[in-house]
Order: sequence, then structure tokens, then C-alpha cells
Amino acid sequence: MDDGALEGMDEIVAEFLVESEENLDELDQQLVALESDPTSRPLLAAVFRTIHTIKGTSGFLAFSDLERLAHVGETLLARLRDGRAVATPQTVTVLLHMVDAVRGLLGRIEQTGSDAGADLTGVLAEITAELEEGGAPATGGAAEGQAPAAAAPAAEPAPAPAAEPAAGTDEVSPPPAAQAPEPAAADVAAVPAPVEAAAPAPAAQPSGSSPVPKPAPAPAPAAPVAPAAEAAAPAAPTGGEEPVAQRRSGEASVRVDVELLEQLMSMVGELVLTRNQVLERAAAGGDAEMVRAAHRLDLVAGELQQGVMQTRMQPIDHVWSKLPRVVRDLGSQLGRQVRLVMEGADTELDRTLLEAVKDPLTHLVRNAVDHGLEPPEDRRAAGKDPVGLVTLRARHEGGQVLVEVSDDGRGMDPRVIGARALERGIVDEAALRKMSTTEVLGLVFTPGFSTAAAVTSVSGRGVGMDVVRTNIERIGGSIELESVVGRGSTTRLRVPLTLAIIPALVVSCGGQRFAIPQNGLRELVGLDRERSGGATERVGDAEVHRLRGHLLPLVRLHEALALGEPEPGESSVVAVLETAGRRFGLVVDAVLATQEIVVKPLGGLLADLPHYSGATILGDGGLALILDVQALSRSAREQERADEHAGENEVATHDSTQLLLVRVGARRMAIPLDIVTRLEDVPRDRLERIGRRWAVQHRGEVMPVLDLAEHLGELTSGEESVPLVVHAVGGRSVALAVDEILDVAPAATARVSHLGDPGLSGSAVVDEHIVEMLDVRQAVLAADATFYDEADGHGRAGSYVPPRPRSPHDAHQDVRA
Amino acid sequence: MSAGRGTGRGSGSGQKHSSSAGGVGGTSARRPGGESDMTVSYVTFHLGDGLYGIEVLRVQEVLTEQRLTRVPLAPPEVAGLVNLRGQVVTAVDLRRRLGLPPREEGEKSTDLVVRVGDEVVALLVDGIGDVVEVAEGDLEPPPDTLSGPMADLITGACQLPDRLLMPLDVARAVAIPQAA
Repeated sequence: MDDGALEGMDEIVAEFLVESEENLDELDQQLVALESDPTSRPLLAAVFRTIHTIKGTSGFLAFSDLERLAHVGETLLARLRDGRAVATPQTVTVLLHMVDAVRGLLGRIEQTGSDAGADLTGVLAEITAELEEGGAPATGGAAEGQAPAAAAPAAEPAPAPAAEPAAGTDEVSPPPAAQAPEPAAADVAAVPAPVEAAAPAPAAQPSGSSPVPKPAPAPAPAAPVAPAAEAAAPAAPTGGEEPVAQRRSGEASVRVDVELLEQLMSMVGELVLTRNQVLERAAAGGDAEMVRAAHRLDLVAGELQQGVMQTRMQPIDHVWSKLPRVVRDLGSQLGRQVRLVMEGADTELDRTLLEAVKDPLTHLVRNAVDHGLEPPEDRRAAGKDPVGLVTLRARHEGGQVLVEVSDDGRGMDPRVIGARALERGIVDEAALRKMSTTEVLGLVFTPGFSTAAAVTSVSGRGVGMDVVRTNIERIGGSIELESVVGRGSTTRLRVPLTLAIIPALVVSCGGQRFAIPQNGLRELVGLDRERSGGATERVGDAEVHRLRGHLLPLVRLHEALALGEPEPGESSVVAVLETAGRRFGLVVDAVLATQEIVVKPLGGLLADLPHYSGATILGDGGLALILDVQALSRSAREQERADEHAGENEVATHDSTQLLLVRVGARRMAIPLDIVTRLEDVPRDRLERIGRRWAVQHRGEVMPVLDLAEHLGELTSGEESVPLVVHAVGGRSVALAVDEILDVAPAATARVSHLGDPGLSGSAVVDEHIVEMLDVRQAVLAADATFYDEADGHGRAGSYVPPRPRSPHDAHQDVRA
Repeated sequence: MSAGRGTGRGSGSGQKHSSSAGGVGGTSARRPGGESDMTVSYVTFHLGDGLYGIEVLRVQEVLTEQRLTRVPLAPPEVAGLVNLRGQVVTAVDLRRRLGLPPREEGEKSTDLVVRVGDEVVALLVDGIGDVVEVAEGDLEPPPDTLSGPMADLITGACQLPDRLLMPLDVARAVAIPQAA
């Protein structure tokens, strides 16, 4: 029996905690709203009601500290509600502190079961101080603020004198403004008087009979009261509507345990799979009745799935509701005036996603206030409204939820961002030059990038935007940035409606099926293995694919997952994936289908495997692992880095029979691919003349450059950007400047013959075209006469293939065969 | 007798009952007359020549061999994933986990589905035996001769009339060391 009572008590406490938590979130919002509309009666009433409820319940549950705190807060609120004082920003701050303290106590109760032991003296003193000087603002407020705004608080009291004109005797005498300064001492019953008296005053004006000096007698006669009641009438519904609507929605909804919803969701998932099997059997069986029943099952299951998914949806307002408080606190901390506008707060998304976008959104809003908006004086100087505007927008768009955070601040200067990125070594100049404005802006998402000139306590610790992007991409979303200097910035988040079901590409590799979430998928490219030599190349040790002139690093799923060697002669497919601003190609055996998959988590035993983000059940009941694109990208990057390292120190030692085709002036030239350490693009003006030679500064070193056009007596076409073929041996490198990188061809199709032309080691036919083989050794020596002296002791003259552990004749034979 | 067992531990699927109904007469006879205070019911299973047991409360169900989906790069003890009526469940090859020689090619296994904490894990075993009830007093410390992973995972030994039953620490068995 005792146990039962205790249990019941626990339940009540738990219920109280949940409810209060929700109410407090609302309270934050209401208090911030109150600041801009200090006399709004419905707001005051709502705030008062919330605190009153907490006070009542905590009294009942014997949380005495909480009760005491709520009581003091309530007293202050009662005064505001009754119009004895007007909420100043200071009052709101104090009230927000009280809310924080209440929250703290609730947390304490949740953890320890009791509210005792918290230090409340600070907050209590703050509130008491506010109570004591509470009258002061009312003087000012009544003079200017209150009078025009009086209609709202007056709404209710106004009819009173009409119904009871006789009672007016008490209220007639005190001039409202004069009485106001001392309400702190006054007793609750008496104090509403000034307000009630004040109400008819403005109301009386429209009647034209009495000007301002004569407000006092106004309430007494019946005639002026009538317009007052009328004037109040339109105000009353607006005041009354909100609470009523809230109550209604409360009656029409039920609190459901999230756990239960998750269970329902997974059961629906099972149902859907069973349905698929039934449908298959029914179609095969040919029993018309069965087929009809199966179709009905299909329909119902589909609708049920939608319905259950719907139950997990919550309006984005759940996250947004915390932001006005954030903006307010931040604004006052930074001395910025901010107006926060929210559009589309009722846009719904899955609750798990809502949780996932909470932190990124908060971060973006903080950024907008801290970095985006200028201080008021700057804004004024720029001819803008000193009050900065931060706008949140949400809407559904193409099966996704679009969330925008924009500010009308100073905007982001791509030049500044570019310079910062260079300074941080995030990009090099050549890459930066090629970037579009959007791409440059996108650099702020790179780890280690921060534009804040000074590190503030608010944001700008250099760990911002890259984390935001990672978090958004983790849930299958994307982020982009748009900015106009002087006009402001907009960050756009796109997140899926739900995480439970995602569109995916099902591929096969090594006899197994895998699912790739489609949000990172850019395109699919077929690789023909018969001429795979032409489709993939090696730069250093990294395997790349030349896709429309760009080198795409490749990750072979066979290798990444140790699936064993692929069948020789089989063709494969490259899925071009993009994550964290990087593109890479994932090589798989075949693409099977695109379909919506239900994501199932992997058990704890497999949680350490970064390559998978879950598993899914396919239509035939089989399973497919869902690949984590971010993790695969990381392994691509690590490989790249390792290769870069290796490539700088030695010529790739693997046997290559491939040729890099380049254009020099009007000629097509071939360079054995295995001498190519890497390819680079530099702007032409980066090439500097040193004596009779060219050089380029590269990573703090001077790298000699041979202009092949000059070397071969051709006219260069002089593009603004110069592709360089870099050859490095033993820490030294030279670059051969060409006009264009054309392709990579397998040497198997090349026939080498000797022509004996200067600078050439022969010619070859590649894809029906004659190409000239560059005498690399000669070219390298032309750029740097001492190159081979230090790189390797034994120079071998007359070879187009630079030092490598085989004779040039072998190479020729190889190529001919 | 078997009814008493059922009510004593109100759990288990029909399969367990049917298998226990077979021939567990020996089990309770083993119980020493006086001190039948606390007994534990084990679902027994075979791995090679050995007979092992898992507390009946841990066991969710027993299934014939399920289609396994291999998980590349997973620890070798993880046999793969199983689709358990829409739930994705990790399957642990208990032979590997206990350091026993692998199952012969083509030899069937049985999925013993157990609950560990919030998770459901399928254990691949050679075959399922009876449900036996063991008085706690009858549990002896595990034989000293156990070595390797076995020594960590076997919690005791109990002499049944015809053979030795070795209860298994399920929670530990499905927590695979990182090094592996």
C-alpha cells in the first residue's frame, strides 16, 4: 500500500517535471515577447498562470524552495499583470533568471528527488529588489508607454464600471499617474484602481466630450462608458482567444510515450515487409481473390505507415521556441538590438531530426547575431535600421525540410574569406583562383576556419561551422551559404523529413548488397574494365578517375571493406559521392536499384565499425548494410594524404604501362605516367623567370619549371592557368608546363617508333592518333641540369624513362607487346 | 513437473516447453532433497562435444538456421546479421567466440536468440537441448582445465546424470574484446 502510494507520488512528480519543463520553454518565449509588448495582457496572464501552476504543484508536492521562488516570482508577475508596474527589460531579465532558477530546481528534483540545497539567495534578492523599485517604471510607463497601450490591460476592467457605476466612487478620485509610484506598498485590492480609471480616459476621448485633463469624472456617467466598452470589445477577443485555443488542443491530444511510437514504427516496418512478401506470393499464385486481398493489404499498410510516421512529426517550433531567449541574451550581452522573426514555425519534421538540428540551428542563430549583425552605431552609419533582423524560415520543399537562418548584417566578403583560407593553409592560391563565390563562401565550413577577428565568449572559437556541417550531413542533410556584402547572409539547411526511411542506391560488390544514401550521391559513371586502363589512372599511388577534366579520387569498395579481389574482366561502376565538400568516387561492381529503405540500427557489437551507418531489409527479406559515406570519404582522404607523402619522395615504383596525354601548342605529346608524381594547375603569373629558366614557388620551395612549348619550339596557347606535370625524385621536383592535360591512355595500344627528333624519344599511336613521346630525361635536365646528379648517382643518358629499376629497352618491349 | 517449472519462471516460448517436456526427468531428481531453495533454469545447447547452458530468462526464442548477411571488417566472432522478423540482429558464432574449431562445411546451426540489456543477439550453436533446472547449490566452479576464452565465459559446472553442463555468461559472451 505504502509502495503504491509512493509510486503514485513518483508518477505525479515525473508528470510535474515534464509539464513544467514544457511550460518553462514557453515561458522563455513569452517573456522575451513581453519585452517588446510589455503591457500585453494575454502574455502576462499566460506567464502568470504558468508560474502559478508551478507554485501550486510544488506546494502540494512539498518542494518548499521551489514554492518560495515561484511565489516571489508570482508576486512580481501579479504586479505586472495588474498593471501596477510595467515590465522593463530589467524586469524581464530578472524574470528570465527566475525561470532559469526554477529550471535548475526542477533538474535537481529530477536527479535527487528533492529541491533542497540550491542557493537561491541571488535570484530571490534580484526579484525582491525589482519588487521594491517596481513602482518606478510605472511612472514613466504610465506617462507615455501605458497610455497608448492601455486598451489591452483595460479590456477586462473596463466593463466593470459600466456594470457598477456606483462603485466608481472609489475609483474616481485618484489621478492614475500620480498614484502609481507607490503601489509597492499598496494592497492588492486597491491597486487595480488606477488602471481601471485610466482605461475610460482614452476611451472617452473618441466621444469628443472631454479632453485629457478631465479623465476622473469620466467613468461616472453612463454615456462615456459605453464607448469604452465598445473600444474594449475588439481587444477582448484577441486577449481571450489564445488560452482558449490552447485548452482546446490540449483536450484533443494525448500524451504518448515516445518509446511506444518507436515500437509502432518498427512494427509497421515489419508489416510493410510482410506485405511485400504477400504481394509477391499473391502475384505468383494467380488467385484473383488473394490478389485483391493483397492489394488491399498493400493500401492499408501504406496508409498505416504514413500515419505512424505522422505521429512522430513535430513542428520545428519545438526547437525554435528556445531561440528568442538565446537571441535576447546574446543581443544584450553584445550590445546589439535584434529582432527575431520566425516564419513557418509549424513546419513539421521527425522528432529525431528535430533533436539533431537543434544544436546546429542554435549555433547558426548565435553566429548571425554575433558575427552577422553589426553594432547599432555601425548600422546607423550604414543607413540601416539600428535594430538588426534575424529571420528564421522553414518550409517543406521537395520531400525535404528547408530551414533558413538569415540576417541583415554586414555579410561575408569572399575576399576576406579567401585570404583567411590562404592564411590558414586551407587552400592554395591556384585552387582559390578557380573557385566560384559560392565555393569560396563554402570554405567557412572547413575545419579550422573561423572568421571572427577576435575570439568571443559567444561564438567563434574556430570550431563552429565545420561541426554544423558535419552534424547536418550526418542526418542526410546539406548546408549552403549565401551572402551579399553589406546586405547580410543566409544559411540554408536542407534536412530529410524523416531519418527512418531514406532514399538509397542499392549496389552490389563482392557478391553482397550495400545501400548508399542518396543525399550524397552526385552521379554514376560506368567503368569499362576492358579499357579500365583508360578510365582510371594512378597519380602517385592514388587511383583516380578523370571525370570531365577533374581528377576524382577513387575508393574501391572491394578494398575498403576487404571483400577480396574483384572478378577479373568484370565491369564496374563509380558512384560519385560528395560529403563535407569533397568529391570522391566509390567503385562498386554493379548498381541494382534505387529504393526507399528503412534504416535499422546495428547492434552494439558492430557499433565500432565506422563504415556502416545501419542496415536495412530489402524486398526479398535479405539484408543490406548501409554505407557511411562520410567514413568512406575519410578513408579516401587518408589514402590521398599517404600517397601525397609517398609521391613526393619517390617515383611510384609500380609498373605502369600508361601514358599521360598532353597538348603542347598544337602537338599531342605522351608522357609515361609513372614519372608523374602529381598534376597541378598554377596561374600563369605565378611562373617567374630566373635567368633563362622558369620557376614556381611551391610550398615554400622554388621548383624549376620547363615550358615544354618553349622546349619543343612550339607556341603556347597562353591560357591563364597553366597545368604542370610534376616529377619528383628524392625530395627534388621539377615541373613540366603544358597547355592542356588531355587523357590517360593505356600503353598497350601505343606503338613506339624512333624518330630522332630533338626532345622526343619516339612516337606512338594512341586511339588512332599519333602522339609524340616526350624524352622526359632530356626535358627534366633542361629544367634542372643537376636534377639527376643528386636524385640518383648513376645518370643514364638517352633514356626517356627516368631512373627506375629496369632498362629502357624493357620498357620498349613492354609497350610493343 | 514441467508445469511447475513453467510457473516458477514465467517466461519462454512454446518451443522451449516442448523441448523440455522431452526427457528432463533427471534434472529435478538431481536436486538434493532438502535444499531446493533457489533453482535456475537453463536452456542447454551443444557445441561440438560440450553441453552449455544459458539462463532461460535470457532466451527469447530458438530458430532454425537463418540466412546470414556477412559484415565485412567485423570481428571474426560476428557471423553476420540476421533478419528477425524485421529486426536486424547481430549473430555471434559461439564456436569462434569460445575458441572451438569451426563448424564443418554444410553443417547446420541453430540460432539461439538472447536478450542482453536492450539488445537482442543471435547465438549460433550446433543444436538445442533440454531446459534443465539446477539448484544453486549444485553449481560447482568451472573446471580448471578450461583455457582461452572459455575460462572467461563459463561461469560454473553442473554434473547432470549423463554429462557435464557448463553455464555461459551471456553478457560477456556477446561483448567482444576490441582487440579481436
